[in-house]
Amino acid sequence: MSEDSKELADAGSFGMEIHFHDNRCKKEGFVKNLAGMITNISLELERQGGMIGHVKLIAQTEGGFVKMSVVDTRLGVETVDELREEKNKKGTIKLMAVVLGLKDETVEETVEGSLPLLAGCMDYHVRGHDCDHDH
Amino acid sequence: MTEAMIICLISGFLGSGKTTLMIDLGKRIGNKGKRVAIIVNEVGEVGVDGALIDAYGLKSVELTEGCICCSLSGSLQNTLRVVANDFKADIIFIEPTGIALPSKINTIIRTSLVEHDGRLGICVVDAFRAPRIYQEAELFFRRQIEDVDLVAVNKIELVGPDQLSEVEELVSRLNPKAQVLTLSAKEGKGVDQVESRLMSKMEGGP
Repeated sequence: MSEDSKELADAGSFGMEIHFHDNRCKKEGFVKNLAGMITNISLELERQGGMIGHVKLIAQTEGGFVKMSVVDTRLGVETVDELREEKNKKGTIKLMAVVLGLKDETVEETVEGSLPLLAGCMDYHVRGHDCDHDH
Repeated sequence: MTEAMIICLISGFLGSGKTTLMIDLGKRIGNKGKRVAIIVNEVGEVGVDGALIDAYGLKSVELTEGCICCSLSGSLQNTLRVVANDFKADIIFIEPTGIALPSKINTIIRTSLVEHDGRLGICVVDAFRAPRIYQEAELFFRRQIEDVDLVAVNKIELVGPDQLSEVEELVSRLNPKAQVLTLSAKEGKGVDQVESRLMSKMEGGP
């Protein structure tokens, strides 16, 4: 298997797991906040000359999950909302971006650059990043 | 010695709707009393699709940080053997990354020596984005369609009749032998056609 499909596709990717807590937003605001972040990531990746393959996330809480997906910014965010509770105080967000024409590092920087948008609703921590508080 | 089973490869470009279609098919076939196992692969470090599949109550094994058609080929073979031997599935769905090549995965399945009674290759094509993907990533588009039995032209709710006809014509030209079906996995429209083809395969059909 000498061909590397990622190289052949000239694709860059980055994924991360985020743990959030103290989410102050109710369900509608929480979903809007996530949609704003994934839209920002997608637009920024396009602005840098990439063709979006797939930008997607799943946020899981004790009260269900919400999945979001962007494949083309003209179509906006496709959302599958299975959150049963109004309040979703803590949980995890798994986020993944694959883009044609950009390097892994560029995708990583772009995704990380949009994370502060989450602070409008919640405190968060990226898995693998050191910090001194409990999760 | 493993029980008789079918392996269904659901390939297709990034964001074409593979996971949505597979979850629907998995639930439908599971509801018929069949044992369904799913192997899902993501190119990146974090698995979003595996979490979604699990959230819908289906059983999945997730392979991340590489593509099963190249860098993770050994992992796919090992996982196939474990799933075939331990889970005794009636059907194993394999969802590779959106940049995987079906012909390479077919070779990996063949050389895994996992006993199975049939294999069905499905390529999911996004009707809305197909013209652009064909223009910008022709090699992948072509090679993903060339080696499958069935092309599922998905997201028909997003296009008009003219674009749908163009996409159907394009995929038929790239793979004249494949059955071409149109559907909306998101809305559940047309999925029954794919389900019928799979059930027929499970009963020894083509």
